[in-house]
Amino acid sequence: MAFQYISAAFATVFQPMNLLVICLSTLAGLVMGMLPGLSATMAIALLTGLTYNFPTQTAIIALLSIYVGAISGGCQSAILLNIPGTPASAATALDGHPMAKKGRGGLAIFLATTASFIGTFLSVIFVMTLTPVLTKLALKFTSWEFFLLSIFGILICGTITSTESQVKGWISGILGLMVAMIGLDSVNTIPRFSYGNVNMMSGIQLIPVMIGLFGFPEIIKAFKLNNDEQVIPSSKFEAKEGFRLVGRNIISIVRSAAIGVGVGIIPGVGEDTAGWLSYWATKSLSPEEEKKTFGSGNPRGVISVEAGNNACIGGAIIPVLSLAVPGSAPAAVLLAAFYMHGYRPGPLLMTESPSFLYNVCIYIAIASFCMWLLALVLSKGTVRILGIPKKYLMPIIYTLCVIGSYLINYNMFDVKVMFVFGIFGTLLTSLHFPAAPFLLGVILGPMCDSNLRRALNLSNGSLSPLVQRPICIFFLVLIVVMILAQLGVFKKLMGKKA
Amino acid sequence: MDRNIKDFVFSFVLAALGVYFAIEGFSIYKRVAGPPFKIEKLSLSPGFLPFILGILLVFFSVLLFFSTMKGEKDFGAAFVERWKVVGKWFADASRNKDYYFTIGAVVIMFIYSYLLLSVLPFWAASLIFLVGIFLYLKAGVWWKSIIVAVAAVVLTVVIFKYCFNAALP
Repeated sequence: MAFQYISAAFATVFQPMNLLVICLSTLAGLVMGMLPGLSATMAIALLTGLTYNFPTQTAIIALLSIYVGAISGGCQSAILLNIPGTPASAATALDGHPMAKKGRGGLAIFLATTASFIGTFLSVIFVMTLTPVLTKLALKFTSWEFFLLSIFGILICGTITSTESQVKGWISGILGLMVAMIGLDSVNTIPRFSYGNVNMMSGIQLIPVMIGLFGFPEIIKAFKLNNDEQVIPSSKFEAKEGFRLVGRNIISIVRSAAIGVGVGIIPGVGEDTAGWLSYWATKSLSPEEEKKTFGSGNPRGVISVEAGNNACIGGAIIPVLSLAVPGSAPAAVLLAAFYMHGYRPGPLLMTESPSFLYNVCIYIAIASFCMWLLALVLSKGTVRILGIPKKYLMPIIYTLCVIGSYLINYNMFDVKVMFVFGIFGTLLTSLHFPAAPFLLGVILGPMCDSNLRRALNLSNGSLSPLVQRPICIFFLVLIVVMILAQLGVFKKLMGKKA
Repeated sequence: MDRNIKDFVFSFVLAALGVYFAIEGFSIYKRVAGPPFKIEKLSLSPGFLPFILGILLVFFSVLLFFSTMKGEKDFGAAFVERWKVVGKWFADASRNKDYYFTIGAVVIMFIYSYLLLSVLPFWAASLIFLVGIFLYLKAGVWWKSIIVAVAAVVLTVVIFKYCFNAALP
């Protein structure tokens, strides 16, 4: 039966009109993902309205293609400008931008897009084969586990992104969580830190914060009186070298894809966390000598992040299809789009529309291949961005940042928020505090807060379930061990024993 | 300024922020403890997580502070010495032309974001901003700056307004 559904899906996708739609949507996704401030969520949201009158399958193809394109496109601006186009590609900038600075921007983009393609493709295989197993695992998570998962994600991000002291990374994460506390609380709708401002009561939007944190400091750098770094050298690369590097890192890609799917399947944790976790796993498993090269242009860093964040696409779709619970923000919009086009994701989907799972998988696989081809063709043009003087380019980028912030709610308040967090991001950068844990704090803050409140309400304010649930104990041990290890407690204990 | 000194100063700012957050979290709890909410337990109130975050921030700020004082034998003298260095840095910064130049550009961005976009349509505000900042940064000759600004604004408006059907500010 599955084979019939797969053949039917191929027949649908290879219809000339659908092929054209897949190409155009993927291209639009790549461009939107590339432009700082235009997220995958926004891309899907904008296209949902446009596809309202499309035939159902064509509309689904368009939406999935733009999703794949937008998640992958973010890497290009992260590599070329050190401004992640989407939160998913924030970790790509860590090694991608140093590669571009060394004149290997073209190679970095090739590696990123190839890893993205393989990651997405592998996630499709995971979706088709492991859906029932992974769904069962995700169902075991309750509010306590989600709370601890968010804390664990922020701590990991703080640990891996700090170049000097891990304490700085954790402080950055706490500051992000504090920003997420602004607005009405999710249980009693009581205003917190909003000072009577109606805009602040609705909370601080993620996209303006992200644009400000990552875009603003880069823009400011171009505004120095004696700016020696006007033009970053453009680059050429041998495709053979690219394929060789991909082949040599295939284990990292498969591991990152597995992490991406795993993270994606957990509701609320999106592509950005998948990217960071994949990066952390690859860095941790590398030899000591190689570990030092991460953050200064290690191709393996770029490959693992992109394979991880793209594999999350498949992972995020699993809970959408089986539980009607989105795995990430773009998946949430996608869920709404599925409803709009007449599908009812959830436990009954396989009974009501059994072909839908296979359709989605095939559409994603074809879109990822299309993305790979288009991104490589497009990168020839985007690499030229490196040649434009930054004093011309950066003010133009700022106008895009303004648009990106404004389009979230069509509200000028978000533009002002972007400016404020831009100044804050510049301050963090100058003080050598990593901005990524801050961003992750803002992203995971609502999930952390709402799950903790819900869990505490169910336990009547008692924290005891934290040490009674096996998964909670696992996360708690992991968190405590990580903090103590980074503070050097184990080393001191070992030293005393010796 | 030396990175260690920067961390030293910032640890105070962070600790102050942590204390503020913890107090504000606790005062949220006090507010909701009475009618109409009557949430009598701190752990059940919406101020619980902000309270915990505030305490955590103070804790990590103290860790950061002590890491900047690592290896100092005379704690008091080192403390005073660091504040002197901070004062000297501010005096030096006030004479640094590069700082003023960057601040000038940030002021132009502020005027664009907070004032121009509030009173003018996007295309007009952006055109004024781009021409102004190109000239301020001495990005190129004046006519080239105007051409680049016009081209950028036209392209942006066409892509967003007509291709993506997005409403611009």
